[in-house]
Amino acid sequence: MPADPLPAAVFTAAACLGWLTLGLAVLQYGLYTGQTVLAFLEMRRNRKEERRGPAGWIIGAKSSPGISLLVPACNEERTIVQNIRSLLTLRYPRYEIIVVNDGSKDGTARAVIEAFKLERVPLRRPHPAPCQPIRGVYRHRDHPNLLFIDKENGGKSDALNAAMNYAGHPLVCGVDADSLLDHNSLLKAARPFVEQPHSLIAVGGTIRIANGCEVHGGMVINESAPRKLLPLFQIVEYLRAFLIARLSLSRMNTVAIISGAFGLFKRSAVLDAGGYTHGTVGEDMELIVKLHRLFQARGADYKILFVPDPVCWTEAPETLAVLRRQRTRWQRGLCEVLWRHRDMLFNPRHGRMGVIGLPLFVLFDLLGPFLDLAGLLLIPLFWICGLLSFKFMAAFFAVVVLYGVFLSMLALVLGELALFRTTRKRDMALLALGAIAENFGYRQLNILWRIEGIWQFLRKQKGWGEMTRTGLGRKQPAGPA
Amino acid sequence: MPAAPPASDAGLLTIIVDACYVLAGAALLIWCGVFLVRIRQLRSAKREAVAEERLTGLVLDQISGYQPTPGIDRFGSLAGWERRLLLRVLRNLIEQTKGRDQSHLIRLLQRTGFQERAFIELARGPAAQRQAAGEILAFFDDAASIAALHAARHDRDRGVRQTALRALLAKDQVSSLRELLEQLDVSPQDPPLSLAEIFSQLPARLHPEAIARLEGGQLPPEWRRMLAIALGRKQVLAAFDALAALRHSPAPRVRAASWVALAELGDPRVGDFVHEGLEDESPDVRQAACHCAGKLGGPSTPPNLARRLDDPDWWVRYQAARALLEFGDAGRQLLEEHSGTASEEDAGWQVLHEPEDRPHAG
Amino acid sequence: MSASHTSAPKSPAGAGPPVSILVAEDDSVTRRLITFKLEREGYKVGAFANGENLLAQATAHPPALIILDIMMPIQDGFSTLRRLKGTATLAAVPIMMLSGKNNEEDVVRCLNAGAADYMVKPFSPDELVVRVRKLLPP
Repeated sequence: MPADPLPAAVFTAAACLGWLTLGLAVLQYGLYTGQTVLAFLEMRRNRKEERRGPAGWIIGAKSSPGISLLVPACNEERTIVQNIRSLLTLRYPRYEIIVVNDGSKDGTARAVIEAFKLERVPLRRPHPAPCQPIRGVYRHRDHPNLLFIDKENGGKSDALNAAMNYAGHPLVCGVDADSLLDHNSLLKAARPFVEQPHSLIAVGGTIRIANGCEVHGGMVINESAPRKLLPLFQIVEYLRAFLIARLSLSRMNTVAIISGAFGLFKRSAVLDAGGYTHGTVGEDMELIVKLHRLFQARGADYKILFVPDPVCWTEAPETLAVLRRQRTRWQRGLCEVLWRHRDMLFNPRHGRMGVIGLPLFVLFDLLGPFLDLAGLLLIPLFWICGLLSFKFMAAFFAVVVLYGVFLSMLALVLGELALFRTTRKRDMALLALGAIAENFGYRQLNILWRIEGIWQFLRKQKGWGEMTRTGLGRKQPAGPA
Repeated sequence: MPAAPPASDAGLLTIIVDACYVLAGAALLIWCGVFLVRIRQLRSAKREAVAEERLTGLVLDQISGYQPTPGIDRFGSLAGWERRLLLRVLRNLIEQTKGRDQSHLIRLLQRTGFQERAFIELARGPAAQRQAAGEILAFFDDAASIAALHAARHDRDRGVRQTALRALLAKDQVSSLRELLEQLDVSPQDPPLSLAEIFSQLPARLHPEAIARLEGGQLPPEWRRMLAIALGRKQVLAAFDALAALRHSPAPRVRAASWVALAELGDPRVGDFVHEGLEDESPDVRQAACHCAGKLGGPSTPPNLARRLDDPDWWVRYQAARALLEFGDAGRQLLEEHSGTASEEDAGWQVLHEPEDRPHAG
Repeated sequence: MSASHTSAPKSPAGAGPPVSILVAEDDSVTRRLITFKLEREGYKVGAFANGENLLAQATAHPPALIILDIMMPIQDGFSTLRRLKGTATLAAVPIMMLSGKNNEEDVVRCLNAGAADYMVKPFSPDELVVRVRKLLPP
C-alpha cells in the first residue's frame, strides 16, 4: 500500500464492523440450520402419526368433530359461485360452509343467491365476536350445509367474525374465497383435533402455489411447476417459510402464524379471545398471538400446531409490482402485531411465545433485513475502499449465497418428502434451478421490500394496497411472513 | 499498521468459505438422491396403477367362487411390491363390503398367506408393522387370531394395544372395563375422541361395570363425560341412577354431560329433578338441562322453563324456548306471551319464526 | 381417470340389447367391484371417477340406471343427482345413491331430491345387484 491517508482506527473499525456483520450472518444462518433440523424431526414424527392415526376412522365415526368453513367474500362476483361449488365437494363427514358477503359493491350477493336458489330466512344469532350489522341470512333446504350472510362492509376480520357467530360446529376454518382447498385437507387438519380434543386450539396447514398447475372444478388435478420465474421463486420461498420455519416452531409449540387462507380453530377458544381484531393488516397472526396470550395466562396446557399435509392452494403474484405490494403489506402486518403485543417480548410470564416465538420474529423479520442490507452494502464498499480483503468479501457472499442454496435445497427436499405428489422430472429440475437462482437477487429484493414495509409501518401508512387481479381473478391471501 | 486482516483471520475465512461450499454441495447431493428415488417412484406409480387394476380383477374372479383353489397359484408368484399392493386391494375391498363377498375376501386374505404373515409380524415387527398386523387379524374370528390379539393387548406400543383392544371389543372378547382402560392407556386430561367411539361400542356384558365405575368416582372427568354420553346414547336404562348422580359433579362439563346423557336415555323420571339443572351456575349446564327438560319434562316443567326465557345467556334462552315448544299448545302459549313484542334478535322470537330444520341450533 | 371399464356383456339379461348402467365412484377398487358385479349380471356398465364425467356420458347416451357415490371430488354425488333430475331427458332414469356416511339426514335429502334408492357402505354387493334389478323396468 502506498500513501495511506486513513488512520489506523478506520481500518480497525471497518474490520470490526465487517466481522460483526459476518458473525451475525453466520449466527442467523446457524439458527436457520437448527430450525431445519427441528423441521425434519417434526416432519418425521408427524408422518408416523399420520400413518398410524385414525384418518380413515374419522370419515365413518359418529364422534368426529364438525367443521364450519368461514368464507369471507368481498367483490368476488366472478369466482365465488365456482369456489362454493368446489367447497361443497370436500371429503369430510360433517361440515358446513358459511359465506359472508362483506358489503361487496359488485354482484357477489346476487350471484350466490341466484346460483344456489337461496331464500332469505329469519335467522339471527348473538354476536359474541363483534361485527357490522347483518342485512340478511339466506339458505335453501337443498343445501342444508350452505349458509349465506349478507352484511355491511367491515373488512376481512369483521366478515370472519360474522361467520363465526353463525357457525354451528365446534371447529371453525377460515378459508379465503379465492383459494382452493385440497380434497382431503379438512380430514387431515382435523386429525390432530381428534387425538387431542381438549388441549389443541388451532392447526395450520400448508399454503401451496397453484400457478402452473392444472385446475379443474375447483381442484388441482395436475401438479406442475410454473414456467415463470417469480412464481417459481415463491414456491421455494413458501417451502422455506412453511416447511422449515413453521414446522420447527410447531415442534417448540410457538407457532405464531396460521395463514388466513387456511387454518382450523376451536371456535370457543377464538370467541374467548374476542374473535379477529378489527383494523389490523395481519389479522391472522394477530389472532394466534392473542390465543397464546390468553391460554398462557390461563395456565392451561394448550397446543397450537402446524401440520404440513393439509394443503390449500393459492395463486401467487406474477409481477414485481403486485408482489412488492403483497410483501410490504405482510411486513406491515407483522410490525403491527409485534408492536401491539410488545409487552410479551422477552417476558417469561408469557411463556415460550414471549421468550422464543416472538423474539425469533424480531430477529429474523425485523432486524434480519437490516443486517442483511448492511452487509450487502457495507462489505463491498469496504472492499472498494481497500478496508477489507477480497477474501473477506468472498467469505461473506459465500455465507449469503451458498448457505442460501443449502437451505433452499433442503426445503425442496422436505417438500419432496412431505408434499409433492405427481411432479415430473422436468418440474423437479425446474424447482431445483429456482432454489439455486432465488439466492441471486430475489432474496435480496425481498430484503428491500421488508425494509420498505417497516418504513411504511413507521409512517403509519395503513390500508390493504390494491391487489390487481390475475387470470383466475383472485386476490392474494396472506401467506408466509 | 494492519492494511488487511491478520493471517489467522484469513484462515478462518477460508474455513467459512469451504464450509459453505461443503454444505451447499451436500444439500445438492441429498436433493439428487431424492430426485433419483422420486424418478423410480414415478415409474413404479405407473406400474402400480396397471398392477392394481389386474390384481383387483384377479381378486374379484377368485371371490366369485367359480375358481377353486388352483387359482391361488396366480398369487404365489407375485413380487414383494405386488403383494403389498394386493394386500391394499384386499383390505380396501373388505372394508367396503359386507355379507357373503366379504367373507370370501377374508378367506382369500388367509389363503394368500397374509394372515400367517400377520401372526409373525405381530409377534416381532417394528411398531407400525405390528399395528398393521393387528388391523389385519381384526378381520378374522378364528381362535388363533383372537389369541394373537389378546397377546397384543400387552404390547409395549400404545397404538398396537389400542388396535388389538378395538378389534377384541368388536368381537366381544374383552371381559373387564378396568383392564380395557388400563391397556388403552389414553390421557386422563385430554383423551382422544376415539375413546368416545370405544365407549359407544361397549358390549352389554360390560355395562354393569361401566355403571359402577361411573358411580365410583375414580374416573377422570373427561372419561366420565364420554362414558356417560355413550351409555345415554345406548339407552342403558340401568345407568339412570348413576347418570342422575353425575348432576352433582363439581366439573361443569360433567354436569352438562349428565343432562345430555339423561335426555338420550329417555327415562321420564328425570322430570322430577330437571329443574335443578335449570338453575345451574354454568350456562352450558343450563342449556343441556333445557334440552333435557324439553324432551322429558313433566307437567311442572314449563313454568320453570319459562323462567329461563330471561336467562342472561342467549343460548339458554333459545334452548328454553325450543324446549317449551315441545310441550304443545300450552308451551307455545307461554312462549308467545313472553316474547310478544320481541325483535328479531330475541331468542324466543327466533324459535317461533326461524325455519323448521334449524341448521345452527347450537 | 374417466376410464370406463365397459365391456361386452357375458350373458344378456334379456333378449334385447344389453341394459346400460352408469356408475360414479371415486375409489378405484370399489368402482371396479361394482362394475364387476354388474357386468356379471349381464349389464353394460360405464364407470367414472366423478359426477362431472358421468353427466357428460349420461347426457350423450341416457342409461337405464345410475349409481352415484356421495363423496366425490370435483362434482359430488348430491349435486350430480340434482343436475340429473333437472335434465328433461334424464329425469326418469332411476338413481341409486351410495355413501360412506351413515347420516340419516343424507338419506332423507337424497330420497327427497329424487333418488330411487340408497345404500350405505360397507355394502353387500349381492344386495346391490338385487336392488338394481328391482329398480330396472322388467
